[in-house]
Amino acid sequence: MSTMEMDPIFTAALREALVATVTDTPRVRRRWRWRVELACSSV
Amino acid sequence: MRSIGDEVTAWAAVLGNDGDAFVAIFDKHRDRVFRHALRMTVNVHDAEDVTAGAFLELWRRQKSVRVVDGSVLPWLLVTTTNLARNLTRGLRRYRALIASLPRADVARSAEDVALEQMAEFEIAAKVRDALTNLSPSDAALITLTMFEHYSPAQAAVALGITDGAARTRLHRVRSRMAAALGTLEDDENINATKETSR
Repeated sequence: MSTMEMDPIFTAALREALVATVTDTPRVRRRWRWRVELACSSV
Repeated sequence: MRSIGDEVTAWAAVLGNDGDAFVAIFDKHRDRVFRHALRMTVNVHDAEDVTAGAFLELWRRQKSVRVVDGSVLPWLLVTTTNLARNLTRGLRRYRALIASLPRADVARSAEDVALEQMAEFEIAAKVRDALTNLSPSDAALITLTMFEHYSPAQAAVALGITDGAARTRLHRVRSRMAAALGTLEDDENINATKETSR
């Protein structure tokens, strides 16, 4: 493993985390929008 | 992903929440981002953390990303510079995620790197110190033009300033960098003198 390359284990885990971050964002946004709407409707 | 068109297409897909497209951009640019982070931090673990933070910022701040000649790399390098200058504050929002990522059992410390590449390590430390003493935008300008070989015009686009302003600031900043790194030449001259006197 060269010092000029990232640790392959870290790199693989980061790739998975990035995919999850990107693909999960719409679902997370929907959930938060729903929470906000729920909170507003109860006021 | 090889051509400019490919990256433009991939970035458009990323904006539509395409995780595979985001990973394609990550795979294309991660080595250059990591090498720059290593230049700035001189510590392998910190450089990995900064690289992760730069790509997470690329996603979080997607609407403000400036694409230069069809590439997000200049924006990534500027963000890497800013994150590396203030690790604690810059990576605060990603600390838990980054800490959860596994690493190889055998960690490479800064000392390991130093033993392998002592000369490069010393020069990198001086470059890092010089960059840290510049303003964030001047450090980004130097990063893009001196180390990553972008033209002043391309760097200007990445930083959101005019071509003329970039050239004026570069002229001023190069002088400061030369002065800050001047001790390198002095060190080399001293070493050369020692060698010839033996």
